[in-house]
Amino acid sequence: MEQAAHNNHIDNRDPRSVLTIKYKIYIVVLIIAMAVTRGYMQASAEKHTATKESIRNLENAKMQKEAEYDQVVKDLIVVRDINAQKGAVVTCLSTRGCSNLPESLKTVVPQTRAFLQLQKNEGEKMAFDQKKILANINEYLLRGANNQSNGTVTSIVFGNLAPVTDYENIVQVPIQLTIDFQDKNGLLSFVYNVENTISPQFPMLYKISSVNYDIVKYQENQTVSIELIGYMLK
Amino acid sequence: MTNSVMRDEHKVRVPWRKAYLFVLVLFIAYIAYRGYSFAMTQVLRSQENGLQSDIAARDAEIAKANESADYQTYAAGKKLILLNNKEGGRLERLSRVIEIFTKLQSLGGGNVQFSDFKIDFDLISLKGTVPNLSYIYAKNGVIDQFIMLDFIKNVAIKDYKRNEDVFEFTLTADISLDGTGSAQ
Repeated sequence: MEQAAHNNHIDNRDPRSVLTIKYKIYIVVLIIAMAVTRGYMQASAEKHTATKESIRNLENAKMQKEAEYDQVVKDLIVVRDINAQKGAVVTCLSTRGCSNLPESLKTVVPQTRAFLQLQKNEGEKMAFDQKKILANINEYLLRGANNQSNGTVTSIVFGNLAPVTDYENIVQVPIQLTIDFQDKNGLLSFVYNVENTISPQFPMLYKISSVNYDIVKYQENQTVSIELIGYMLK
Repeated sequence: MTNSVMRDEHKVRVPWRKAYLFVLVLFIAYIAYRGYSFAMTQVLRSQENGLQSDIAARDAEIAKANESADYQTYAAGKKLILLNNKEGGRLERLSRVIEIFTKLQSLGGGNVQFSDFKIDFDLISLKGTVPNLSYIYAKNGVIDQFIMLDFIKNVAIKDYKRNEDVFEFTLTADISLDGTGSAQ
């Protein structure tokens, strides 16, 4: 009896009130659901942005890597070409004015010279093989186009062998030379030998650090101080 | 849940219905965005992994090339050449400066005398003697002659001193081997 009265009360209740309560509950549930997952959403958005940024950086890195790789491939081709025709290349580079280099090497002459000149130079009971450097100076750097002497060396001072910064497989030795040159042609011939040709017998890579030369007296005999750096493979 | 509410809603107008629908739309948009964001992140991650693999593959190939002693020598020589040749070949610079000096010697003439030349790769200085100042500033005078030289820039004459019948001055200028001293 009591139960029947209760059911009757529910049936007679305003359906608007029931629906309003339902809507309120749904709204609260949806808002709670959004609030609970908000942190996750934020993290997800941040991850998304970070991934996009990372991709941009990786794309740049890939472009640089591709360029580096392309250069490595080109360099390997040059090395292959030098080794394949080493005799002819050495002969040409040791001859003044030679233009018969293989086509693939014509644009990389300084690099080809450096490759052929950079060699191991270990000396017996010495830090490096001075015999080879002395021979290079005396029989190559001081020889002009006609194999005549282009100057007279009056002093040679070797510095200490030291590693080259950032080049783990190369060492360098400073060499200070004092040379008497008859006129500018002697000096220019010497510098030409350092910068443009190679010695087949005594290959050695140098850099000219300084030249103490009075240009005003270029037609006169001058004693010139030249600082060279010799490079060798470790 | 939603269907039963909609059925009921046909019978009566219910307050909070609009608010509910608004929140529901928001919720659906929220879920859609979340789904999109998740899917996009997965796509981007796969793209990221692909790029990393490509870079790692190139690194491996470069490392393989570096194992060759010949390649190492060539690469080291190439770096040295680049490092050492930043200021150009010494031969070219020497020849050019000697050529510049011979040109400077040919300047002047007549009443304009130059002496005490000092010249190196970057700077020249010389002493000049003229009978009067008009030889300096006149058209095609000393200043005009120097500023017309394409290998000279920053020409400077700081002072002029009368010495009996002549004016003496010291001219300095920077040498520009790359042609940046060309007259405009």
